[in-house]
Amino acid sequence: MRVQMSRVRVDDILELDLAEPARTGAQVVLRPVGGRTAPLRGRRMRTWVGGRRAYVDLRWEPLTEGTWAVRWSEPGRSSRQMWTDDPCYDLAARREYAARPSRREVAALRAPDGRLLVRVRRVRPYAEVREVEVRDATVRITGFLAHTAPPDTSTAAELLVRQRDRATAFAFPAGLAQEVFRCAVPLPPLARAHAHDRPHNEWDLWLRVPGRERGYRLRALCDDIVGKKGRVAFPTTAVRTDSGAVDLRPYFTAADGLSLLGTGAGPRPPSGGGAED
Amino acid sequence: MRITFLIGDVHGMGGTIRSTVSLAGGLAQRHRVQIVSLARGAARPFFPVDPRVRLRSLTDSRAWAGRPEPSRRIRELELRPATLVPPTEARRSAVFNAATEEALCAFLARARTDVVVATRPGLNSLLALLGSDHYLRIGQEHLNLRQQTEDIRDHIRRHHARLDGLTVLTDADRRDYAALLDRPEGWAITMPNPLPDARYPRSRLVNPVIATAGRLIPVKQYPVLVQAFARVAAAHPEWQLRVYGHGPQRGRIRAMADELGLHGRVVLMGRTRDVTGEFAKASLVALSSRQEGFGMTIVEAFAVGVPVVSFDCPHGPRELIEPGRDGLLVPDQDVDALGAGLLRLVEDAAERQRMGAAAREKARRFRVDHVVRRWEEYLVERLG
Repeated sequence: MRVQMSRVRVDDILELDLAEPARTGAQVVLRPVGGRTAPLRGRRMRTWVGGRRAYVDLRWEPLTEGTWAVRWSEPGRSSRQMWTDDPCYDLAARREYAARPSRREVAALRAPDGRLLVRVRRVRPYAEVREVEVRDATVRITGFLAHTAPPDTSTAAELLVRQRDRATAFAFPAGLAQEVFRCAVPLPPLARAHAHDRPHNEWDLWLRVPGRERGYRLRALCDDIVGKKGRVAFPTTAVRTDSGAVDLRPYFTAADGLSLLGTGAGPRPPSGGGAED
Repeated sequence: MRITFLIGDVHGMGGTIRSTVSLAGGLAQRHRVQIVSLARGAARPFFPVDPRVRLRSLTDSRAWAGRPEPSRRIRELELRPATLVPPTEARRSAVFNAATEEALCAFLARARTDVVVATRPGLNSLLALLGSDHYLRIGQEHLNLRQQTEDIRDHIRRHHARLDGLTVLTDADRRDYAALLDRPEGWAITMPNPLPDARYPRSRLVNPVIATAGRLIPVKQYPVLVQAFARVAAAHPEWQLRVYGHGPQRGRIRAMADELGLHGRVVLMGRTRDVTGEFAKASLVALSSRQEGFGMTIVEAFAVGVPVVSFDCPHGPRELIEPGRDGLLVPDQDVDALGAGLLRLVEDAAERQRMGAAAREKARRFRVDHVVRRWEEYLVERLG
């Protein structure tokens, strides 16, 4: 069975536009792909079918984490793989999905050969980065809280900038209106705290919300680019300090977390060209 | 029919390799097909090859780290230049040297095949000079005549008329060849690159993504595309330019994005095996090339229902894009016009949808079964 549209709505219903009318009693079966611990048998899912539209309930079924092949089963016939014309990527829909509290994410995927898949994975709350701007020795970041409920009212949050493998940390004010946060990191304090005995200083960014025990790591996970390191780059700002110049720039880590990288740029450069400490 | 394709190295990545692999797979449905590489550069081909197609390599490339130890004689020969290919062609492609020339000479003398199809000017020259009249000798032009340097054009003028036929990618190029070589009507034919047989997705045309794909080399002018994209980025900060491919111009593209403050908006995605799958996530595809041999990127965008905005450069885009119907052609090398064309389609979702539907319809004519049929007709006619 071929489908023209396949998406998982925010309420974890898989919505399908079928290329041909469905027969009465048709049902979707999910069969695990890969993974040695996955059960071998497929799971029959609650399916509502009307004409060329089908809805599959992925909310309550105890689907284990992993990837599932979506198959179409009709009475009296063995199930067959479903193929999709849909690229299964809609950035706005993904952001809407991530903005709701959840510990589990269900997504429809299209394999390169066209097979329709469903991926289930456990998620943790984090701070999704939407924009990063580097200007005037300051890094400005906007984004939203993902997979967690926003605070009831607008609140003053904090951006925690923590030096990796060291105790040094700075906190800068951050605005939080509903789930949307805005913050700015001035680079000179980081440059002054640069540990010149290390070739690189990494600073990891966390959003701290009053009344919440854990901070939210800043990451960019909503789009389809897995592995932004080396693909997305930000400009370097040279900051002069009494102990020498430091180059600082935002970067994405291997796990798509947003961090800042400081590099000792050697002796203090002549005046002009860099940001004043 | 027994059909042999001659290629530099089928294990690499590039437009000629991809289209040869697709065409060979299509022809293998009814014919015995083999692809012969002059020099093998990897253990396995980058593009999946139809199992019915036989792969054969005449030598192992010096550039292949895992190649079996060659004999002393081969090692000496491969340090010597090829003598029968134009110097520029030998410099462009590392597969040409005295060892590969000797191996090809032996192969062509003994080949038991009905047709040999060579896939680049140097191979066309070798086929014309060393091939036998026991089989049909067909050359292919995967760029266009005007893109070739003077020494290659001179070689073509002096030797390629000996071939039994030539396929080019555009009508414009066919006219150029007709003016250069005194050959009868029908000797050269326009034969588009085929769209591989696959299930193609269809873009929803909703994501704020402009995509492009190709090797990051000067002729593609990706820094120019970044300049044009700046106009979109200024008005629509959500939009992103994704560049798929790798190559020596990566640093220049990055530098242009930084210079224009487009960090985070220009993403260098690296190479992908699933170009159409990636294009299907985009809403527009853009081309900024100085020249194109054909414009396979355009056909791939059309296959997934994405309109294309391109310079009206020689030769491919003009023969593929119908302006206002399935994309936009802007005056050649006019960066402002390219930016304006992108902006127009970014801001008009309804026009994108209409053009996307027309583009998908047009892509049908490049399906591999259509192209295979045209090849069969051409080869039967030439054999006759």
